[in-house]
Amino acid sequence: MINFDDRLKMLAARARSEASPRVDVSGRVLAILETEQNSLVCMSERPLMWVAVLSSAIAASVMAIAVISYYFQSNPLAEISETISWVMQ
Amino acid sequence: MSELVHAVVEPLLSPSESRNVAAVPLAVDLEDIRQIRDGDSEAYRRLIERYQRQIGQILWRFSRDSRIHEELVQDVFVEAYLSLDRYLGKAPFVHWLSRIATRVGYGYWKQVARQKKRENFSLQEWDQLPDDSVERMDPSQAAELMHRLLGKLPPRDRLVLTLRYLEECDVAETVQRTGWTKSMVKVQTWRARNKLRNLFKQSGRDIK
Repeated sequence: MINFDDRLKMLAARARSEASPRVDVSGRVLAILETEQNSLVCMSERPLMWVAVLSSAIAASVMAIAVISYYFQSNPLAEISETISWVMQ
Repeated sequence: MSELVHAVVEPLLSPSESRNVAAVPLAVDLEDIRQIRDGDSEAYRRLIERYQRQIGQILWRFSRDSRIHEELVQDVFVEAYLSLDRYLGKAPFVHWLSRIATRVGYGYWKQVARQKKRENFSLQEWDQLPDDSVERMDPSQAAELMHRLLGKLPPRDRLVLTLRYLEECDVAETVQRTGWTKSMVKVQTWRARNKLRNLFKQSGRDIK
């Protein structure tokens, strides 16, 4: 009677010579990766979109404040236009 | 240079891997990987076609259901692509893929174990094996028997014995494939063998 380990080794040696079924997964793998990449692109564009929206909003408010300040606080033409209107009268 | 790198790293592969990888120089894989990183999906198709047979062979030890087997092979290549940046080109690509395949297969076994499914194996099948006929057994029958026998063990024990017996990995190769330490592999192998022996002993069988 051969021992347990030897028998196991013999069985394993026999099992090793078995060929596995042929598989072709290339098409499916590439399809999965394409889908994943598309979703990754969408995901990566979304934060950028919010940054763009936020910076546009900030830029618009800064612009509005700047214009208002320009007219009400430091209009460089105000003195000239007042002088011209006084002369015209 | 590439042949030199190849020759140095080749002993890390198990005998079955070495046989198949011998024809593909590392430089060919590295060139394909460079193209993949540049966004060429056809280069990845070439890599898959080059290695799916070997990866399929490894995963056939993890599941003998052809549908699950195919899904596991698919998962390996998806995972490999997503972690391609971590491949540094220091070892053959197939060696790196084999590690992923082992992880994917082991994960599958753990998932099956959580569902409390165990392989259906009767020890009488083992008893009915005449000693002199094992060497003449049909390889598929032997593989099926081995698969179900090791399926009686928890995933960790099953993995180490599958690698040691079926994949013919030595301790160093098992370390590479599992990511365990050398001493952990040795201890795990010893424990797994004992558990297998105990299965027989508990059923009152006298084994040498």
